[in-house]
Formats: sequence, C-alpha cells, structure tokens
Amino acid sequence: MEPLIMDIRAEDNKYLHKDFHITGDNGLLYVGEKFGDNGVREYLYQFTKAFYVPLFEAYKKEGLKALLDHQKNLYEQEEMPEVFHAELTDDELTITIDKCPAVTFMKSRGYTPSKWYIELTRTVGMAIADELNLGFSLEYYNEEDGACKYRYFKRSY
Amino acid sequence: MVSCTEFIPMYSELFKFIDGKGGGHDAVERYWIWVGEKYLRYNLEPLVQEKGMDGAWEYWTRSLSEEACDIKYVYDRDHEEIKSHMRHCPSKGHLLEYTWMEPYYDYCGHCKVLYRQTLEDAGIREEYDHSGVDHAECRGCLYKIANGGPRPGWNTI
Repeated sequence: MEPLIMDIRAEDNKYLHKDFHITGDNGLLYVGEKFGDNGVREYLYQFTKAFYVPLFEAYKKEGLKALLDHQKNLYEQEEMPEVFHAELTDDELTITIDKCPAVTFMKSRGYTPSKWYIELTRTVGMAIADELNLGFSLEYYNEEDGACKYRYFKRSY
Repeated sequence: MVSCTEFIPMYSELFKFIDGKGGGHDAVERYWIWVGEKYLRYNLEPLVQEKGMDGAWEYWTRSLSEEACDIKYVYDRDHEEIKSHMRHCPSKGHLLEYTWMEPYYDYCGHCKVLYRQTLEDAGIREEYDHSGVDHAECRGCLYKIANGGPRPGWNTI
C-alpha cells in the first residue's frame, strides 16, 4: 500500500485546538483535589502573573481599553465573537458573556467541567485586577453554559 | 475564560506549580500519567481501541492540524508504523516566543508519558527523539508492539 503522508506548515491551519479546554480543566481538577481551593487560586495567580505581562504593559499605556481589547480578542479567537458584550467608561469595564465557548465545546464532547472551572473567570479576573490595582467583581456565573457578567473598575478609597 | 490559544503557558505553569509543591519532577510525571488516563478517554482511547494504528493516524492528523504544527507525518501501512518529523512544534514554539516567561524545564517530557498507557493498551508504542526540543523540533515513531520495535532509520525522515 502507498504510505499516507500529511506534510503541513504552520500557516496551513488556524491555531485552534479546543481539546485544550478539557486538558486545562483536568489541570484544575488535579490541583483542586490535591491542593484544595487555595491551591487552585495559587496556581492561577502564578499563571496570570507569569503570562499576562504584555497585557499589564498595555494597560499602562491604554488603560481599561487594553483590557477590553484583550478580552474581546479571546472570543474572536474562539470563533464566538457574538457572545461577547462590553461597556467601557472612564472608570469601569463591564463584560457580559452569553455563553462560554469553552463550556460549549466541553459539553459537546460529553465532558462536564470541574467545579473549579469557574476560577478561570473569577480567580484569573481577580489576579489581573490585583496586578493592575483595579477592583474586580463577578456578578453572576452560570455553570450550565458559562454565561457570566463581570466588572473591572477603578477603586475609590 | 482562558482561551485554548492560551493553554500552553497555563500548562507549563501547571508543571512548575506541581514540581514546586515538593514532589519535583516525579510528581509532575504522576500528573502526566493521571491526565493521560483522564483526558484521552474522550478522544484517543476509543479511536485506537476500535481502529488500532488507523485510529492513531486519525487522532493525530486532526490534532496536529488544529495545533497548526509544522510537521511531516507518514503512515507506512505495510509495516504498521507512523513516523513523524515535527519541524517546529507550536507548543514549545509559543513558549520560546514568550520571552518574558520561563518554560518548565522538561515541558516536552509530557509527550513521552501522556499517551504511553493508552497506546500500550491498544498494542502500540512510541519511540521519541527529543534531541532538538530546545528549538522546538522532535521526531517520533508509533509502531505495533507485536512487531518488536521501529524499523531502522525511523528518526531520519
């Protein structure tokens, strides 16, 4: 038989491997079971501080708009820009998500996200806000479909 | 939500987090075994159990495309071998691009461990050449255990 050959270059395909959502949640589940809720928070704070350095730099120049652009881009990358809604004022960024692309994908594969999956919104949001000296509030989160609303706001003391 | 396009740095930080909790690399390897059992049951396991090497080809041609790899992947059906030359791994490649982050020192080690048990349960084994992982390059060969080993020259494609 003739051999089967796949010979591809990076530019031949879009980088979008949604199975990573399941592997990512597996990581949260493992850390949660081994190290508890605080372990999950510690891990996600570590990740956020290490990875989002360019976002923190952009915030210094552009303020809340940098955060808006970053969040909006996530949903465009996931090919579900229509679920993303935002309101931006001088002091506050409010984001509403109709349904989460990651939860939608995981459930389509018969996989139920762990109870720690919410922390990718709550803890990562808080960690970003802490780094930027902002307040953060998760107004609601629906575990069924990941629909949520959250706010970043300038603190007033 | 953390996008699936941001998964790789989250994965690398997970390995660092687990390693740093006192168990070192052994603890990370235990995680890779655990996640292999947990995660692959949704995708690779049913394919290789039902279709053997054809299932492995089906799984990796999809996932390597979705990960936008730069790779040559060759399935020699006469000798039941799948040889790969990853010219540029997008996962390790992204980590190298994130110059503000320090990747987990054995990030690429997860590939050797993650799939091992699921493949062996289906009578398949993989040989790896990781000598080029510092610049995001590697080679591999999947073969039937019953055939004894990969044929000579497997790592020269």
